[in-house]
Amino acid sequence: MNSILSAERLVGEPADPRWAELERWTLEACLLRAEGREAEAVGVLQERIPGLIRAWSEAAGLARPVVQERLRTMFADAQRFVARGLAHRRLITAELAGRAEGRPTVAAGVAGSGGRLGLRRAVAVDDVVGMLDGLAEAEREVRREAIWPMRSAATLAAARL
Amino acid sequence: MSKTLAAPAARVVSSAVASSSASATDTLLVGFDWGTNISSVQAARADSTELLVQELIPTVVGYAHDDVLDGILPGDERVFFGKLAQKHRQHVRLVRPLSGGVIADRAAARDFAKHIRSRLPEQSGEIRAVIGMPASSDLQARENARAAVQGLFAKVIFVPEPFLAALGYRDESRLRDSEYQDPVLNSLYVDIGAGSTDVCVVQGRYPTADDQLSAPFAGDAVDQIILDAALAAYPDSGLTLAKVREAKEKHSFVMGEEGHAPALVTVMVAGKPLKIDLTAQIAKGCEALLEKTFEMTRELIARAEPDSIGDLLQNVIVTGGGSLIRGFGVALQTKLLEEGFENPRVRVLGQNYKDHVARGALKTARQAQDRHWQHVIG
Repeated sequence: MNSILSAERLVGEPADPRWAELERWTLEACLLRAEGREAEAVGVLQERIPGLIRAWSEAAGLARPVVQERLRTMFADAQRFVARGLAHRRLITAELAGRAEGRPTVAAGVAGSGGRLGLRRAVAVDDVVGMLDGLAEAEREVRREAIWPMRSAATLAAARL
Repeated sequence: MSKTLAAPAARVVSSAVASSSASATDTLLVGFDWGTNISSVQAARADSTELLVQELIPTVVGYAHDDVLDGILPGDERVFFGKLAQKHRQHVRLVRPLSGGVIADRAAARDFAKHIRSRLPEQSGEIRAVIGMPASSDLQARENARAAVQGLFAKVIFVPEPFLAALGYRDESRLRDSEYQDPVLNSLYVDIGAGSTDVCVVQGRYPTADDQLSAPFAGDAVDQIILDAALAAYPDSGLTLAKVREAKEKHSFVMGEEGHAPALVTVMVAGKPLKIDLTAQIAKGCEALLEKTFEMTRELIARAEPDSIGDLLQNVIVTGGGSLIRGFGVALQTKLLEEGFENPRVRVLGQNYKDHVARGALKTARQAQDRHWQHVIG
């Protein structure tokens, strides 16, 4: 697998499948978190990534500070790519969603794409206003997701850098 | 929600950009629990706590058969709602607008929404409704619901039913009462509706997807199990789902409920009345529901923080139509106990369960800010 996140630093280096796998799952964890699937993100971070780090670092034979620096950079890259993908998508889908209003054919395409009704963050029961804000945020996110899935936006952002 | 339904052309505009023509004093707030079998509506003016409307309406529309003679149906009307539709079932085609908590028949849903609007007082200002939806409802379901109320309510907000049930069940006036057990601090809600059974944990915050389980197995599935078993035992009985549902609502029970009367149902065979005993078939359907509910409850308890489980087990609250099955709460509690959970306590909300969602919706409507309301342009 090609490196997703750090192509420029790997030019000239032989592709390491362990590193590529580690990158892939790191990006996956960031995507899951951005999608509001916190439990799944934690599962990846706690159950899958430590083993991948161990496998890669043992095989790489690098000094501990170098390992730590590479991991830090890779995690930061993954977060940056997802954030950039989200930002692109927000700008573009806001425009598309605006155009979809009042146009049944476009609205039908958006509406047919799933998206359960719920919160993506914890809100205290006393905080009705916060609950309604959270629902509105989630609804906007569902509509964005229907127009341009966040995964494809983040992947596109990663590919262009 | 059937995916074959076309999305409506309802236009949704954020209230933040839509001008509001109503002041608080002439705005009517509505809490609406649009249930598959029963709907609950409560309404009050924004500046008053007095309830102007508090009504439970069976969610059914009856369209008169073409060949009904004049004078048979009240006012020779062609469309009936709720109990009146059920009363005249022989002369109307009964349509349930919702299935599994979401709109399945757009035309009937629109007619039913118009009926709900007709139950509200005449209004010079705008009507704003908070509408309960299943947490599992998708964007299509919300679009269909928006279309159904388009032009009837000025502004709407859709909120997951478990949120509204928790809010509605909470009695804020008793929070300082040391004897009062706040139902939103650490409770497990089991909501057994017609289309789905939903179990969620409420621990001082609104449940997220991780705090909930939903299964498309509830009252309708029980009806089907009973019907299948009954037709296997009485193939010539001509039993229908409607008849089975009626029998279930009258006779349903689960294990541990001793001394229940046999479920004798009269059916017409070749024009003659015949009494058949559906006790075993009803037991089979209700036990299947109990088992499913127990499995979901057990799974969600296992997900909870270990330190919270003791208190959580003290507040297992069963609501929805399934809670009306005789002995259900005791049976669920017994199964939890047998599973090894320590001292579980299951409460059943019973007949007034529908009011909680509508009450929660009305509470939500009172606190909603202008930015939350979605203006549905007719």
